[in-house]
Amino acid sequence: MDLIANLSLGFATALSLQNLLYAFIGCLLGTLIGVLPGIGPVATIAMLLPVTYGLNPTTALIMLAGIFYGAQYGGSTTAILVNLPGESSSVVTAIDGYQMARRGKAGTALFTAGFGSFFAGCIATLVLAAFAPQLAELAFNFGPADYFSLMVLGLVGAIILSSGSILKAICMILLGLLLGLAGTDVNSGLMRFTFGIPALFDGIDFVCVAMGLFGFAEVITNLSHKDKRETFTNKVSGLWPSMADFKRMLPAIFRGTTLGSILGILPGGGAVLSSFAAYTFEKKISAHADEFGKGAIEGVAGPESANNAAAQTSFIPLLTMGIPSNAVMALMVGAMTIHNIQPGPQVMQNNPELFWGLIASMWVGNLMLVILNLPMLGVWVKLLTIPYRFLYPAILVFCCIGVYSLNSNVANIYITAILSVFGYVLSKLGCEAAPMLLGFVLGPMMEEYFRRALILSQGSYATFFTNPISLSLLVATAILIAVMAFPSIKQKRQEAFQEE
Amino acid sequence: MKLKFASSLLAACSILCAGQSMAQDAGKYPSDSVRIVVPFAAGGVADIFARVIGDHLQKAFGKPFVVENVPGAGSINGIAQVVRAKPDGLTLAVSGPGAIVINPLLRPDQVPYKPLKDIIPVVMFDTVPNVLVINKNKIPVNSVPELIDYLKKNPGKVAYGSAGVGTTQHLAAEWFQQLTGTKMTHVPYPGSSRMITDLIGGQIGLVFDNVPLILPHAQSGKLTMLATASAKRAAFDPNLPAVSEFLPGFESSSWHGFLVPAGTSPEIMKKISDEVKVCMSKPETIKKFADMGAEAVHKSPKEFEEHISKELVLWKDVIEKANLQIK
Amino acid sequence: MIRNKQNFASGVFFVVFGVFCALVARGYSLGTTDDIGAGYFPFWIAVLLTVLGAVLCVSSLAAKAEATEIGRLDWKSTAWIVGAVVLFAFLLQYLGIVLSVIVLVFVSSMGSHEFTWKGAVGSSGILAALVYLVFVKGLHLQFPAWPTLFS
Repeated sequence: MDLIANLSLGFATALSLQNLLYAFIGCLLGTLIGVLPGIGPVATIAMLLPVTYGLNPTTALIMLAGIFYGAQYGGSTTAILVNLPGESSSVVTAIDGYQMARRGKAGTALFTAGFGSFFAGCIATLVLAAFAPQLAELAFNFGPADYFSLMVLGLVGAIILSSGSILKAICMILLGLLLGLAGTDVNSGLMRFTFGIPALFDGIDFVCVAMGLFGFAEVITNLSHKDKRETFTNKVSGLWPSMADFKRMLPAIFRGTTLGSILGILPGGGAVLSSFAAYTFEKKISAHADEFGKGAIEGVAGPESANNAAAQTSFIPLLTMGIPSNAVMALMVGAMTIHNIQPGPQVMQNNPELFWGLIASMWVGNLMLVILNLPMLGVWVKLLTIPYRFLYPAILVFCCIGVYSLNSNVANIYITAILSVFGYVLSKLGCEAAPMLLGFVLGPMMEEYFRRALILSQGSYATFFTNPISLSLLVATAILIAVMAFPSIKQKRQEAFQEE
Repeated sequence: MKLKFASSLLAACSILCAGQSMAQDAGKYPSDSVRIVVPFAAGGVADIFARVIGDHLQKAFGKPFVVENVPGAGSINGIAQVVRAKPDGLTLAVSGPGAIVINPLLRPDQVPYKPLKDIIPVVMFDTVPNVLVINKNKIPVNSVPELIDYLKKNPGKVAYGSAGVGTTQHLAAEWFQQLTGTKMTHVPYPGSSRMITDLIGGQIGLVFDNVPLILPHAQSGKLTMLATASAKRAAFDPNLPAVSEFLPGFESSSWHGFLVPAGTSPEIMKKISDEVKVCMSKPETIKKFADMGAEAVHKSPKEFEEHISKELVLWKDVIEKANLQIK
Repeated sequence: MIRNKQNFASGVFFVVFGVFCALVARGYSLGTTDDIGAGYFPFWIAVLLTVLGAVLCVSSLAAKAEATEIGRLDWKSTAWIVGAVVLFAFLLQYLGIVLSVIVLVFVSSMGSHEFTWKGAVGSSGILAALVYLVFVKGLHLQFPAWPTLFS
């Protein structure tokens, strides 16, 4: 079997002492940086790129890839512990993960996230090894109309993220859409909603919105509870999940991995959707749907596995076609070209040790992350025993620095401060931030694809229905709406079962 | 921000000790470490080139040359920082045509500096030619004349992609249409990657773009390069004709160079320019640039200024004819 | 009588925001179907938000609407936190990161009802040292470490 020969070449490369060392450094750095809110893998890789100029290309890429998925791990840690999603993919993890932490199950939540990511990483690596070339073709068959319909499906799914009023959730999504549209319009080059403020020319950064609405607003909310001391110390139960937890977690991890592996391949929005899609899916099929939003373990397991699987498969377009599917991958292209490797279909033939070595190192890296993070669980949970009056200034410091470092501009801190007031007031009014964030992320892409599809179809809306992929996504959306509109059907069925 | 404060402080100082330190001695340049402001995120072509040249200058001058990435707002942020810096040659900007030529023409209201007045050219160190690429499944032609013919027979039917409104890719296609009297539909993308995916997938039929992303797909036969948009045939494929062979004068290349705040002494500029020239003639520099689709060149302050002035006139005309200005 | 005060207030907020965005978006071209303008999407999204916000307001008045109260907004905590952050952003360019972090930690700590001078001094010192080591020494982030006057 070619696959086995290739993988053994890969492992031979990945397991060399030097590569193991750099994979470890990458994972460690990535985790540390992921834990710092606001400083994501893009900034980190950008900063460390020059350091890798002196390494051999395989080693350099292995280290950068380690930073990338290490940061994913670390990012979910802060999302769970202090409700600070540093990346769009960990927004969903924050919803139920943070609630679990508040209920004293931080350890379990972190374990679930880590275990789910590891499992997803293993499977996605196999998928990558076995089907990379075939999967890459999928990306070419996805036209603008199909992407638009995928975004519509994603946004309708976002409604399910909310545990409260559907109408309010829709309004929050629309609010997010509008915020996301600020900045330079791709199609016309016009600057919209910028009011002549240079800091808004590129739009509002996701990190500002997440830090403002989640991080700062949460701090304000916690401070205003004068009567109780805000610590989680009172009831930190065991770190390890129970048998019952495992039974609920495993199927969710499996489903999350599948969804993430597929969506990760789509450049331009697929990977972002994966964790949201997994959450929506889990919430809809779960027998414990009422627990979602209050600390359901599936709400952590599904999205975390999905986003890690997607992170892995998002390498497919890069490695097989030389086309980066997100900002991190774009930096990887930079790293490859610096080392005189032309990313593209030839990499597999010309540099097999790089291609397969990188893939094997992903598996190795995932293993390292689990080993690295398991002993850390106790430390992280200990962090929560720090009295809140010491914890929250630290959160503010790290958020501010993260936001500032986006492009060395204090204007971003002002924007975040304004958004935090919005976030606080909205949370007082019972409006949830998660659907808004998804609207914020997907809105601009949705508009872009919508307009591009119509330019290409010369103004015919039929394009959304004649493309088979687009059509099936829209049908799926319609089914989802129907399921939401008639929850009574499901309830009645459940009642019927109970009577029997 | 720090810079603004520092520079105003320094300005105050220099008024106090009038004239004392105004004319910096070019012989002693650089007196301190030098900042190279790259108005793009790390990892891009401009960033990598800045680091390659920065390394050389550091060794040659014996003072640190530190690359700083100040991305955002179509390079306006980074360039504006340099414009505010003290004109002592210790702050250099790396720029391409976007911030210096196109944006000031396209959206004059948003650009807070005047090219060649507030910020002046020191040395141009590379050109990055665009190539004319098609997907043969969408446009069944084999040469530029056939393409022009095809476009004339199918006005408005062919969609071309660009890496955004006002990029060299966009303006090249607009100019091409103006010269040939053809009409295509413009489909803007946020950057090249998605555009190339859609070109391979057949959503769009034609693009002008830099070589690196295209080359592997041209070699595998998924895309077809019809011609290079550089003035002469390009080094990477001498068999590939230049567009200018069919449309005399047609040239669309991006470029990169160093610029400094107005008021910097010509001696310092010459010193930087001369040292960059040494760097650009090293074989390893030439190879590194070629690998990334660029051609290592050297234009002195005067030649670079002429280049920019020429482009300002050319693209102003193209932008006006296509009615692209954004208010 | 407004029964669902939370929904009513958020409805008002959505309507105000929607109307504002729709008015701004009116300034951009709506375009045609084969070339949708920059104003099309924001305008219609804003209109939709306004309509849904209004529905939210009206439905909160209904007799069978769930009754909710808006919790008291704690402006004091908000002011301490937001004030500290804004002050940090303002001071950063003059004082550098180390001193600004100390100010940020100090001012924001005052927002806590468990504030003690000793605690604030300790935590600001620890955080400033940590920030210096991690961000300035470790990651080489691009910001001024010390006041520009002394550098």
